[in-house]
Amino acid sequence: MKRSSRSLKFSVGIGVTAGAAALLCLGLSAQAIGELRTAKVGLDRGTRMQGPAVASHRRPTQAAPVGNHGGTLVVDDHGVLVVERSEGRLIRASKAGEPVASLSFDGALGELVHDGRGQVFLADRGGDRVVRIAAGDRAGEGLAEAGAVSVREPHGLALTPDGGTLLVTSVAEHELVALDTATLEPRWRLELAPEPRGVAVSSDGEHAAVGFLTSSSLAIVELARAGSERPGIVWQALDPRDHVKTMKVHDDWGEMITVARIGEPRSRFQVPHETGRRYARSSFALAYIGGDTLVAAHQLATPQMRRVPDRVRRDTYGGGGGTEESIEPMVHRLGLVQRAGALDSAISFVELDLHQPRSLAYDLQHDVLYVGGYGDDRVVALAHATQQAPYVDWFADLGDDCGIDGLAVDEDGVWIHCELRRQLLHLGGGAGLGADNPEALPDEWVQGPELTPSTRDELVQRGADLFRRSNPQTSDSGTLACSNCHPEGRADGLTWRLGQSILQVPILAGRVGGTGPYKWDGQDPTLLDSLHHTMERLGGNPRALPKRDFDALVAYLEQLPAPKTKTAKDPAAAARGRAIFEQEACDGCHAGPQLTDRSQHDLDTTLEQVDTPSLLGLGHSSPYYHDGSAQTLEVLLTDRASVHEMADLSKLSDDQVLDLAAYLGSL
Amino acid sequence: MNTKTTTIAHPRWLTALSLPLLLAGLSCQGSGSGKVLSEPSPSGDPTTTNSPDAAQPAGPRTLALTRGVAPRGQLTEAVLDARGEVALSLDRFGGVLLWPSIRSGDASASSPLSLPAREPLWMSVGQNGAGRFTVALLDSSNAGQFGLVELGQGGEGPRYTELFTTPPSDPLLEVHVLDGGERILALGVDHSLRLYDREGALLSTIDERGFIPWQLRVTGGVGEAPHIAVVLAQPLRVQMIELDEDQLRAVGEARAVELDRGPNRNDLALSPDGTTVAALRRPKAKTRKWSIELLDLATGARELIAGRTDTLVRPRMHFVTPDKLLLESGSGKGFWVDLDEAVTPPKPSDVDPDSKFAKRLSLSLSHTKIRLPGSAEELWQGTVEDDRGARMHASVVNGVRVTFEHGKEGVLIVEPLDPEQAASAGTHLELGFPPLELHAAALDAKGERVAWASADALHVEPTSGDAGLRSLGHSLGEPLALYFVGDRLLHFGGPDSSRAATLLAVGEGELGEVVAAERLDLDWGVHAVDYQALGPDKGVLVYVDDKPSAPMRAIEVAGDTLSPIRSVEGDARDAWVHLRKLRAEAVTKLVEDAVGELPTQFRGEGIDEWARDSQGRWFLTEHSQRTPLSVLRPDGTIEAEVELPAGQGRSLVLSPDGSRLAVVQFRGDRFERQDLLVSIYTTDGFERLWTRGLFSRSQRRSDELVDVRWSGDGSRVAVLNSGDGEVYDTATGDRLAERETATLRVEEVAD
Repeated sequence: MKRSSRSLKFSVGIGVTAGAAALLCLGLSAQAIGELRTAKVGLDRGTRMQGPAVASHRRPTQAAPVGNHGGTLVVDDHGVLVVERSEGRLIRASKAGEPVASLSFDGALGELVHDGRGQVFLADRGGDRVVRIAAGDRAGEGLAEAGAVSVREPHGLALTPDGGTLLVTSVAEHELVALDTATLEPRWRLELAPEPRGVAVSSDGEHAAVGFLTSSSLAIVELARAGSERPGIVWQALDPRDHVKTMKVHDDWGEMITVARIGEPRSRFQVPHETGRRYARSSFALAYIGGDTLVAAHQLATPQMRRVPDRVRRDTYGGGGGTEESIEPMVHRLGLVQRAGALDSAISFVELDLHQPRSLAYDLQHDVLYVGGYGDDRVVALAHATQQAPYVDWFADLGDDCGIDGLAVDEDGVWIHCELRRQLLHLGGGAGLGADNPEALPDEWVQGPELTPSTRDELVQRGADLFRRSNPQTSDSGTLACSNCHPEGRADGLTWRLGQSILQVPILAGRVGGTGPYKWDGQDPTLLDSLHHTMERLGGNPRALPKRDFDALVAYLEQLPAPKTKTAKDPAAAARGRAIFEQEACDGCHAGPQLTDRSQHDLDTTLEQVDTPSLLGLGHSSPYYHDGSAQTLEVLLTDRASVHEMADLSKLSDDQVLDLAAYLGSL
Repeated sequence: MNTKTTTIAHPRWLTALSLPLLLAGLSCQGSGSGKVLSEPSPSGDPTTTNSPDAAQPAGPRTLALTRGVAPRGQLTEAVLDARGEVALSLDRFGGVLLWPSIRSGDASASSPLSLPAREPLWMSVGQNGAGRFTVALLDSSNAGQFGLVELGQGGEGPRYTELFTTPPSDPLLEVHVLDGGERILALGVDHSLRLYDREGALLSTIDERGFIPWQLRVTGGVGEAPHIAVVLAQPLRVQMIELDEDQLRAVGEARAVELDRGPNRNDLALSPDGTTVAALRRPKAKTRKWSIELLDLATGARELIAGRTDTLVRPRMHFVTPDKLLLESGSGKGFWVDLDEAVTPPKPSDVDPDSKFAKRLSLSLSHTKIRLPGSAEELWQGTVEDDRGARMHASVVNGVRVTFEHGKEGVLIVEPLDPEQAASAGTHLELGFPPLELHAAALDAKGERVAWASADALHVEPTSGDAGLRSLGHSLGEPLALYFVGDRLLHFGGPDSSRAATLLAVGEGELGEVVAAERLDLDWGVHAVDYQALGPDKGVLVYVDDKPSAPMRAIEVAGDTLSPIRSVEGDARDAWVHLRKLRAEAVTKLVEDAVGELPTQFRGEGIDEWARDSQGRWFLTEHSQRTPLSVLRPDGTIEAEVELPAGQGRSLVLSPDGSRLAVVQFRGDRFERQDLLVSIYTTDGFERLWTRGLFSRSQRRSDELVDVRWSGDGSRVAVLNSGDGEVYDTATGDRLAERETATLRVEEVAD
């Protein structure tokens, strides 16, 4: 156990100034734990009032029940249960963060959830199971599996307040599944949309909210009717209506600069286009907090900021913007929904200076929401989270190799799980008198040892770190991490402006190993070239990265498994579709185990040539075609496919088209 | 200017958020993402799955609505029903209002309702019987929301009933409620054209390969089937669609059209009788010349008409009648284009606006010029020629033009268009909620009544939630302060040259009657003023001059009399120390003189905001965006350091009995727009009861424009923020009253 105080940070400054090596070492280790800073409160964009207030004006008196959402951490009377997702281990740790027992699983894991009364469940994502866990005691005795049920690729977990129903998001099947916690028997399954991840249950147990990687909306499911012929689903949109406008203005020195600002969307009397439109994506983390406010952490992308990039950079993600007073092509924020699922629901947004919020924890007593940044290893404390005028009270930076994927609150403070270090941290203390008073900030750090050795190759581990990290070498100002557009190595469902072209984000997982050349036009012979090129497009400085880092990224990408297939609703139709696929010689280009001939073809597009993409995971990756112009597979086959000269399917009947779509959706 | 004004008083006691009470819960049917099928899961368990293709009828989820709701900000868009009688408006914060009966000239009939929608990308409305409207909206993820608005009869209030929804997995590009409100035409992102009934059942669809509509034009349809055309892509073509007995079908050939920019609702319009498409083009980006190609969809015949406007910006084109177009130039003028003057060009290439024929035509024809309200650009930079402003986007349906005007927030301009009318004649209606620009507020002793004052009007209403707003114009000038004295109002203010304290009656039938008045003695001007009640109908008003050497002055109020002005001398001034004009170091000295040595952070010029209670305690904040509230005992020791929400102090206002403290804070730079918040604390225990963000629809810079007023018993608190006023229950923070705009006014104004 190592306990450190924030005051050591000041010692670092003194030590460095004095040049004392011992103090320097102490300072470095203190910095390795966490550097906590007060948040400047001004008219920053993030918490500015955007309109009439919709949140409560009073402190909440009741938090949502324990288990209303899952995560990677559970704090109970015996210590902490931690999911090491990529290592496939569930670990019992002490309150000092030290491992005392573990369970191993084959493959990656999803979330963990408990009800505070002894029920614990784990999503065994790689094993296609939901597992009941006997939590064991403080010493780890009794930690064991206590039952399991098959659910394809489970990820998100949440328990109803009565503990009677466990809700599970099935990534492969695009479903929300309800399990009886006593018997683990499925009660119902509800297909929602591709790439579901987080799920959370309201305090009254009437609604469940589901977030998605590739949808702009949350699904609010009425649980009482979810299993009926007419389930009640309300979709809560997160996209803003207003657009980003780039314009040239004079700065204070009289120089003409390009700025990007939020403005009214284009009128219907103007030519419609997507430039400046913003999209919410990657709702990994959802939670109900005080006052039954639903929090949905997500990212907001502006994939087409400008029609024409500036002269300096003609090939940029989003089309480029400005440098002064700019809206970045990617920002991260929270949606705070009041009365989620009701006709009079209302939502407000808080933009955070944090990258990829993927974990949430809530403290009712102080009405503080802790948010963990997966991409920048930052924890933010949002005060007055459920009330009007919330603000960032403080934030802590945990170094650059953490990978925060879990948070949990206990009576002493907040637990933080670092996925990449495989380590627990605890931050406690503080009197909460306002951040101007350094004595008031939490300042007691506890850093546990490594919970489990990594079973991943060191290069792959390094690649995983680089892939998720907000890093100025890989993108301009670290705005875009690889995992922003490719969460879990998959896709965000958006089309981005790259130079003169609009190009869909492809899935990487399972598709890039040995399928060069790369990019939609095949201009990059190797994956290394492609990474280099991408970083240049992102405004990064790839030359500053050592070759070893590129090797690491390649190693990481190549070992990513392909997305699990979605079960065909009609296997017979899918079989017929496969026959059509072969009969029409689609497999002439989409050939081999990864369904690509690795050749380039001259089609009628804005690209000079089109490299045959792999079709693995197609059922999860709408929209389709290189420009995302086909919303569904049916549209792809009946519309664009005959337009860009890819194939002429006009002779297929409507039923044959549906069969072919069924087959493609099962890839 | 001839005006006819109708005003109506609506109760305005409830939430300004326009999100009223939920009437009913849920029923057996509900909204969903698609048709539900039963089929076995891979594990053999029975499952329910959704097909996202079908719209999902919803159960009767209903919501009570409130009428008379003003928009929260500048209106940005309006759409009309097929008859041009009903409008949906969108404001800059994404709020949607339904305006019934916009042409009636009757404020009660036109009074709008706030709908449960946020930031829709698309809106459409249709009348569905008397006082009933079918509404179709697309949210920002292109999911559809379809509902019925009923104004309510026989004592029932207005309500919204959800009809059905479509999920974001089946995104829509457009929705159009057809006249009668029983059918809805929709265009999907998948290029399918669909006709739904009101319950969400699919009546007809056109979903054919190679048929790639991505825009619709829908006109006419009043009491009959609408005229429909689809805009097809690659190449650009227009195809007529027929709707006959609930079945859609493509008719005739798709006709090619050329435009000088992408197709949009301005440049490519369908005539009201559905026979002709008008395509607007210009020879270059900045020019006064324009040409319009008229394409007969049935025969393919093409004609050309051309002309010039009076600005270089692209005109707005409205197809008003089958033979008349209206072009808006953005200068406040419009041009009637008589299509009978269109000619068949000698050769097909002559339709090009760059052709000599087109140019000659544009120079030879002149078109009737008229004045158009709400047509001008917002000239924030340069002139209208620069085309850098925000256009007011008018909608014209069934001969009715609806638009907005800069500087008239929350006002709809409704103008019936008559091509035969002389240019100088004509009127239009202006429906809206003029801002009140309140300068002062007052609560009576028990907080039962609130009075608001602007420069030219006085408003008094109960805070109990009952109706009873009474308003009266006055000529007393801008109020600096307002106080209840029993059943009287004490107005303090007026023009710089003649400031006065005026006692006014507030009873029924006597509102605004001057009971007494006393002109103020002033040297430079009023720095601060305050009032202390000494009894139910008496008290003393004290004011301080801007001139430092001027005496502190007082006026006694007793019943219906105002005493002559006297100076406040000696120790009596101590009770009014908060009115004094003090520099920072003087404030520090003031507190030090009272309590002795100050804590470190308050020495020098460390005190930002301060207040003192009757017990001699000092409440202090620091110059910091993260200041706490420090409470000093009379002996200078710290009684408490209270954590405040983030933000620097703006003002500290104690309730009359000293039991509550209102803390107003700001976040941001003093020189930029600030966010303001107000919190209420108890002064024993310093519990924070509630905090509200202060939103002002004017979004103006807020410093110096925030005022907090307590009721005599401290049970209610009124907050004025940039001209908007609200009253809260002190204990709960619940909003009891708000007054931001005047009630709905409908005025007939000459063009």
